Amino acid sequence: MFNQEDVVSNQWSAQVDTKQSETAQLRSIISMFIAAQPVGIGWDQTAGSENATPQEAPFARQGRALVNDFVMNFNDRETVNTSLSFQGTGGLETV
Amino acid sequence: MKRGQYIRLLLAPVNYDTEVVVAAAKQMSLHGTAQTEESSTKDTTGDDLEFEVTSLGYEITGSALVITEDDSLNTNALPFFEFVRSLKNQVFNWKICVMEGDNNRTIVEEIAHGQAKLTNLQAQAPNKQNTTYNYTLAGYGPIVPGTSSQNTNANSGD
Repeated sequence: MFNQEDVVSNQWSAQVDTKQSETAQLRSIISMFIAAQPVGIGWDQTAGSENATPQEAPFARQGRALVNDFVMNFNDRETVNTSLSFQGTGGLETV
Repeated sequence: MKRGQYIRLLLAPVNYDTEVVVAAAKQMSLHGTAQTEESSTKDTTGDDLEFEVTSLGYEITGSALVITEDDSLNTNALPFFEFVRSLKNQVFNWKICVMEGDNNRTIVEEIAHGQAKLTNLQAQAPNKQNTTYNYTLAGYGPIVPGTSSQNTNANSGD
């Protein structure tokens, strides 16, 4: 009745929603998308100014990923809601 | 972006000089998608798959409010949409810009530009004063990230 299948490969993805108020960031997202090349991506705890300093937490991981989807919602006057999706390529490694 | 600035879509059929400013009455979105495929075949248990991009595409969707009783807009925005509707397979130049000033007609900086074809146009609940158009523009060729600091005036209705 029930299938019994083996896991033959791994893949991963990531998705993040942000509010952007700097147009340079929006242009960077577009540039990253049209380059169609893997970018470095990290998953970590952060601290410091604007929470931008990775802490290399025990659970931290890093890898390479393709931007496979982005949405910019121009709903507000001063901010743009963005959603970015990444398709991991290769493994996720410890930092 | 500073307080009081707006983001607008500017549209013009290819070979036309006049751009129409399309305000985002409710929302406007730029949505890019990449098709990917496995770049190698792995048959060992536990292997991590690798991918590559095979094609890129995007679309712009939004809604624009047109006030039909405003003479200044009648000469621009509404005829523009009627004109658009009459066209088939027309390629449009588009720009998404940060704008400010009187009626938000001064381009502060460009976020991106490109070309697109109109694939959907819907008039929503028209009444005596207002019609909201929902539109979809399918990307035709690449998106080009804009450059900052332009400060030029654009034409037409909100």
